[in-house]
Amino acid sequence: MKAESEFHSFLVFRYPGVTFFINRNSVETSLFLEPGRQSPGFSLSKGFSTDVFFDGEHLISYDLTRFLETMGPVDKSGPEEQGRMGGVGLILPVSRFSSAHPSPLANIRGSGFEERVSETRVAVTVGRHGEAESIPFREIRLFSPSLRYPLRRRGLLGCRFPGEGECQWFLDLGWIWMNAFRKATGDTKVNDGE
Amino acid sequence: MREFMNNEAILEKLSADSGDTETGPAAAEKWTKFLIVEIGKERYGFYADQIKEIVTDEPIYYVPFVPPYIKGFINRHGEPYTAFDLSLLFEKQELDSALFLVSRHGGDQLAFQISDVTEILKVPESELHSLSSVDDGESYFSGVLSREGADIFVLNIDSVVARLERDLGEG
Amino acid sequence: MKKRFSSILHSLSGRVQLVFGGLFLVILAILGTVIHFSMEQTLERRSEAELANTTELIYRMTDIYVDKAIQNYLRSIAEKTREMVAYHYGLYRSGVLNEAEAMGRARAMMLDPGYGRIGDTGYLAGVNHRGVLVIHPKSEGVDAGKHAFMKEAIRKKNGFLSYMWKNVGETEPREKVGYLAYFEPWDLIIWASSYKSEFNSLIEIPDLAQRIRAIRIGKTGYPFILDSQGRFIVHPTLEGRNIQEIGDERGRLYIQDILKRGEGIMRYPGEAGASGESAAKIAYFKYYPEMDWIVVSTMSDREIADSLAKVRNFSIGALLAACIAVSLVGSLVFTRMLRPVSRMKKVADAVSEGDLTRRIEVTTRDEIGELSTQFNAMISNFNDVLQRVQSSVTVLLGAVQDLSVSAQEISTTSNQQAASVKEIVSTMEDSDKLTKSISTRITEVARIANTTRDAVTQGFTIIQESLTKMDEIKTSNAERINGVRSLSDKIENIWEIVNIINTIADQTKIIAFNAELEAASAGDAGKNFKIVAAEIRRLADSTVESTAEIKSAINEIQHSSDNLIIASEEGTEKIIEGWELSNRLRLVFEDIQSSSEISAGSADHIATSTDQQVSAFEQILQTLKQISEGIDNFVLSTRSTTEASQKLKGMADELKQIVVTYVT
Repeated sequence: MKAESEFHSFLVFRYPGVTFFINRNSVETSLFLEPGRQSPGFSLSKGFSTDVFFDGEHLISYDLTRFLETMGPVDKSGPEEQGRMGGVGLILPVSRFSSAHPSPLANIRGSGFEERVSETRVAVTVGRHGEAESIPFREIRLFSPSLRYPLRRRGLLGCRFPGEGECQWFLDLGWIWMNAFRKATGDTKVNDGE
Repeated sequence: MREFMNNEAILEKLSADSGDTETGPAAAEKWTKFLIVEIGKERYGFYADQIKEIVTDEPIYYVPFVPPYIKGFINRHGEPYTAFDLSLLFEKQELDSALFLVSRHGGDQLAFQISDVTEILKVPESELHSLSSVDDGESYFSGVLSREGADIFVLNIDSVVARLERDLGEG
Repeated sequence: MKKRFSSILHSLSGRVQLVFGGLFLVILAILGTVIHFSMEQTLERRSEAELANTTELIYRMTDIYVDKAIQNYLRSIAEKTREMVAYHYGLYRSGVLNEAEAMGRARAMMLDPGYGRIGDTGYLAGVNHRGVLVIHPKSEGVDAGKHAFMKEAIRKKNGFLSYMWKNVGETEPREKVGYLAYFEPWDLIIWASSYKSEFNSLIEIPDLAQRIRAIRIGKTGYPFILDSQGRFIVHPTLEGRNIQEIGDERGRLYIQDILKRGEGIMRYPGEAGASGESAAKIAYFKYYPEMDWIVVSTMSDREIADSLAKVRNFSIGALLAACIAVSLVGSLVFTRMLRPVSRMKKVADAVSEGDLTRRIEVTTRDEIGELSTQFNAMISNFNDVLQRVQSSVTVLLGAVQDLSVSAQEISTTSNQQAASVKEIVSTMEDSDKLTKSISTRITEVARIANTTRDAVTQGFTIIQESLTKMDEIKTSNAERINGVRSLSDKIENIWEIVNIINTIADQTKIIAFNAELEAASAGDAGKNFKIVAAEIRRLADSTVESTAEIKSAINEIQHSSDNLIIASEEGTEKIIEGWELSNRLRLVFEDIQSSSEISAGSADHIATSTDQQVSAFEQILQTLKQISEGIDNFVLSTRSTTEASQKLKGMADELKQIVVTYVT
């Protein structure tokens, strides 16, 4: 049932070079990560770790700043800084991912993780907290049709021009996590074009 | 009121609200208006009814995962318009300009980066000569105008968009 | 000389020789001195003894001769008397005489003082076999048979006899000599006797003298006899002369001394020799009372001294010879003994020069032989060690060589690396600086783009200056003032307007195009709009035309003002200045134009990108600097490794040098 509300709750993350917002509903909760706990973890490509521990399980977490750097200059404080500040872990239930992509954790078994990892949740780490904002739908724009679907598959759903020459991106963390994970595990079906 | 919506639901709603209107090419008249522009050193022609407006001094918002001739977006009336650098596409020469032709062709929001606007020509359809040989599939140009001894190629926006979709699809 | 001496000192045999020789010398010197002195004494004594002996000899000779002479005399008397007695016996026997007469005549003859006197108090006598003095001048008929000499005489009956006899009336017995001749028929021992001392006038001594004269003592010594009066009885040259003639008073003193002493040594100065040397003499004398003679043996004192000197020289010579001999012998012996030592020394010298192949020939089993054996053993050991060291050194050298080479290689490579990194760093620093300056410039450009109006203002300031200049031109040239003023007014206005119009024209153009586009898409409803749009378009076109016209008009004005300036003679300077200002103006406006073409947004974008690049650059630079430091440290450590390995190499080389000098 679609609600006729003109607003929806989003989490807005503001970096000096790029600002994005995500569907509030896609995040179960967010955690403060202790400083210095960032570790490369396992043998997948950089960006992934099993540091985030939630509800008795280790979660496979992806460092979002890697993705954000493709959009524009992110906070100069990189993962090290993030580690020092601790950062924020966004807990994403797999069940809330878009049904457009296959089960994201099909490859987890047999990927050589040392600890037991959750198969129902994943995490995305960001450098700072997001602010909850109610954004009216009419402010959110989809891309030009020619670009719409290709960008959507990469996690860019749309954008918003709140004014003063600013452009805010509407991201789907599920897509972003999936693409990164596939690339890390050598799944050549997904090519993020870079 | 806030309810749970997943992204798909949001996208559906956005699609419905935007009410994309198809603005197809205007009915062919006997006289057609062409907008003659300069892109780099070359002169090109656009169907005037395909161009909504000309804007200047627009900031380009960079977007990743797109071919190099897509510079990003410009914001017109709160909408993101895909910015094309045709000089990069055709001449492999990047254009540095803040002058854009804004087009809402085929439901797409497109902006073409240009160096300068020359004139609007109103010529009979017959003056548009079609291109004699076509190498592979659809050409980027609908035809060519002859003006003061110079040839002005008229752009086929659809084919450019198709090119973009092809490049995106292969990625 | 000194060198030789010191070399002698340094040689063992030399030292030994020196010591022994010296010792020997000292001992011999002492001995020699002692011997010399004793020799001297002995010699003297011997000389004296010789003299004494000679004197004694001559004394005996003289005595014997005298005795013999006396004997012969007495014998002749005794035998002659016997013949006379025999004659008388013959007379008896022949019957001429009777026995008593014969005997009596014989007796009478014997007792005849003229015939029977022998010497001063000597006489003839006759004794029978019983020892009775049958015929005697003084003591006839006395029985002297008890006396030993009588017994002897009775026994002998013939021959010589010497005895002591005291005549009646005499106090002292004196030495008597007698000759016996036995006449048997009458049992008569004819006894011719006399006192020895009474014979001195009877004796002829030519034989004796001859014999004595022939005797030589030493070289210059001779015996002589002189009587107590000083008359030379026997003398090689002074026979017959008297001592007092030739000498001085002392001669008599000497004789007195001699007579006093009877026998002994005497020294007296003789006649000086031909060369004036002292003729000191030494003599041994003995008094011969029977003849009242003094027997003397004399010799030159000098002779003794000469002998002494000879002895001394001889002994010194002998001493030296002995020393030399001993020295030579000793050195020979010692050298022989030390031969093994010198052999050892030779080998040791060879070893010290590096030849380890030599060994000492061990010929004896004494301490030197043992030492030689030990020495040989030592050389062998050293040889072994050295060979081991040699091989180790070779290995070491090889390893050190490798190490040194590789260290140097590393050092070179590291140096190269360091150099390249440093180059990179410097290049990057330059690039960094360049990027930073570009960034700065871009920022500046953006600033310029954003402050175009400021430039325009500046342009107007310059225009003001130009106006002032133009005014000055006006004041200097009354005819041009109006034109200039209006010109400047026009320029002032026109530029302003042109500026605005340009902007408007551009924007209008865009608007016109937009309007036309809108009109095109608006369809019929947009016809009026189309007209408006067309009008706007026309306006824009005409504006553009006007702008073009204005531009050309301005150009004309500019040309005119050119002409004005050129035509004006006065104030040319100021006009030129004005023209320079105009040029500056043109440049300024060119700047403005080019500035305004740069979009601030693009400049910002570029500035942002360059900022990104700068930061990335700085990171890279940092990393490179770290690498450079690391390489520097590495170079330092390799340098120290190189230095260490070079030191090692130096030491190994030194070792090798040392080892190489040895022949093994």
